[in-house]
Amino acid sequence: MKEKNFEWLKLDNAAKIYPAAMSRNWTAMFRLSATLKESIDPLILQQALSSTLKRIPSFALRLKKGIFWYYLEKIDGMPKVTKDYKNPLVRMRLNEDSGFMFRVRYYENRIAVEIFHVLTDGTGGMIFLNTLIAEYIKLKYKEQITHSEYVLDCNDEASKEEWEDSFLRYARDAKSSRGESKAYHIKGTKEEKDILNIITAIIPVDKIKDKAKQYSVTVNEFLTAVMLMSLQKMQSAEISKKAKMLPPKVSVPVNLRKFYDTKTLRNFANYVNPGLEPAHGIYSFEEITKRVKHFMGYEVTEKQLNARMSANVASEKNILLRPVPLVIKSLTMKAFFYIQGDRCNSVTLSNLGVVKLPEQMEKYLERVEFILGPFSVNPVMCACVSFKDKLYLNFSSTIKQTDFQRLVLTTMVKMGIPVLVESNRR
Amino acid sequence: MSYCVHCGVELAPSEKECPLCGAAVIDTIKPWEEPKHYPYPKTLQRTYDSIDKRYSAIYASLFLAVPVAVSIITDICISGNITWSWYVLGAGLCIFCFFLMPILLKKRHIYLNVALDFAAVLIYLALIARLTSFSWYLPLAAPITVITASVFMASIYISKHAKPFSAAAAILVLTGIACVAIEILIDNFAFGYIKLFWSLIVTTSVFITALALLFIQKKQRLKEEIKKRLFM
Repeated sequence: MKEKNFEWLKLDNAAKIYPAAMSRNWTAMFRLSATLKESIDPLILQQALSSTLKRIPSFALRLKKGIFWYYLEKIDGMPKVTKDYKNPLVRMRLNEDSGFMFRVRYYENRIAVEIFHVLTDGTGGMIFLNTLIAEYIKLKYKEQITHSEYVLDCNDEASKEEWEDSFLRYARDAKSSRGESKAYHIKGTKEEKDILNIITAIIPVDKIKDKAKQYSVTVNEFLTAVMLMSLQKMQSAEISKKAKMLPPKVSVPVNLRKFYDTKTLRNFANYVNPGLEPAHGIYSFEEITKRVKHFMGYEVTEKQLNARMSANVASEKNILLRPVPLVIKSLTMKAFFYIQGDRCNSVTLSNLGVVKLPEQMEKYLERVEFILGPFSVNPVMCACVSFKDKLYLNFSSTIKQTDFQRLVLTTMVKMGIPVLVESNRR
Repeated sequence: MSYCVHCGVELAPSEKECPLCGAAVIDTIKPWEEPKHYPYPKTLQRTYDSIDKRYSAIYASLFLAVPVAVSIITDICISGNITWSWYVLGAGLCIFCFFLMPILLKKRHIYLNVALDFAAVLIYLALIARLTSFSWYLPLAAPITVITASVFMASIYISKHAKPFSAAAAILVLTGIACVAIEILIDNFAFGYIKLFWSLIVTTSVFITALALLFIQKKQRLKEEIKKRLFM
């Protein structure tokens, strides 16, 4: 069934926490960008955005407070594309920019979209960016592009399935416990307000793939293992008493679209937290890769993930919680986020995998990048995406120290993986 | 094409120093030069708080000054002297120290703030004493204020530095001792002799609670010890 319009939407299950958790200086955001071979024409970009937003109406929304829940209201305007800044992902205020919860920015050859997590997750954001770039290329180079579910055609009409809450559709009755133990946290000197340090590591895909294969793991598992290894080293250097050590854990978001038939462009991801148990002693890299591989093998399955997401959906559906006024719900959720939030992981590694675009688009594109915005407790976040023959691993951090980034990248260098580094520092 | 001598990573032409360790790029053959393209623009995006708190506090202070000034002027015009308007002045000072001073100070100075609060209370009481008599001020009001201030400051220090349960126990003990001291002062002022009564009840119950708290703290440690040894 094709349905073009909606007046308002409920927040999807994963999005519910973000407005409650946001503060004056922090909104959960991420950024996706594509670098073209020629410099960006802002006028054409603005035109491309206009058609993209018409095609993906679930981005033209503003956040509003109801009596019991937040909701999303349709906006008719159009956000203006703006020049990019040195420090990406500066917090969003919902009363600015007519309430749009995403920004489109350009710098030299690059187009970037910064999105508040209430709207969508990384995959949804990637489809938005792909569609925007396709539209830009079509307008600028008069290119005919073969569309797919990852590059939407702006001449098509939006369908209802694209803004459905797939969590609600696929949740079942079996729930798993959401309790997680506290994890080790990276410490450091806080950067001043608004500053986000970005370090981008560019790694040849074939080299990292070969190395991962050597340990019989996927690239994602390999990166997770390298990060756990680095966290283990950092904690051992900081704390000498084993009893005081906390488990280093990496939060790995999992795209649930892989398991379910859905076209949703809203949030539909969950996460797993592979980690180490410091009380067991120091792990060798082989041990870590095995641990991560088997953990993922067990956790990243439809049954396990469904039980996790069903637990979240159940609390949303709880008959006692639903009539609680939003003010109280928000406060409770804020407290829950503060206690649970990212306390049970040390760092997040979000991997969007390989971005495969139609040939007509790829020839105009140089690279694609993914950056995660800062979170509440953990100062360092990692996001990665592969495009053509390169993997782009982005570290975003709100502290001055770069020990973690250095450990991760030097570990790879020592393994024989070449790493090219650039940053937003000057 | 430069490599960091420390980290072994290749550095993009934009990097003057290694972003991972800070080591400068020293290439004797091809020294680093300003690149044509940087990965990010130079301009920083700055956000500003919609309301400047300090600015509002200055504003509020000015507003607070209005009733105080009006009272003093009225008082002088009518009675030719400052009489009852001392009360208003003292109250204004207290409000300023309690609520506006912490915002006006650029950094958080908790001890300084508490000290100023109690100083304001002392001054206010002194102003009241000036209008009535100083007989109750020196033997009763001033020492009680000083004792309360000391307990308050010590409690802040303890809660910052000690473990939660020990901190609670220490604060309870301090409160108990302060109660005894206050009763001594009151007895001495009112009857001229000291006969402890209510403070003993408070102190005993507070001491027992403190002991229980310390016990829990101890037991927790015990628990951790057992956990560590019997790790499964």
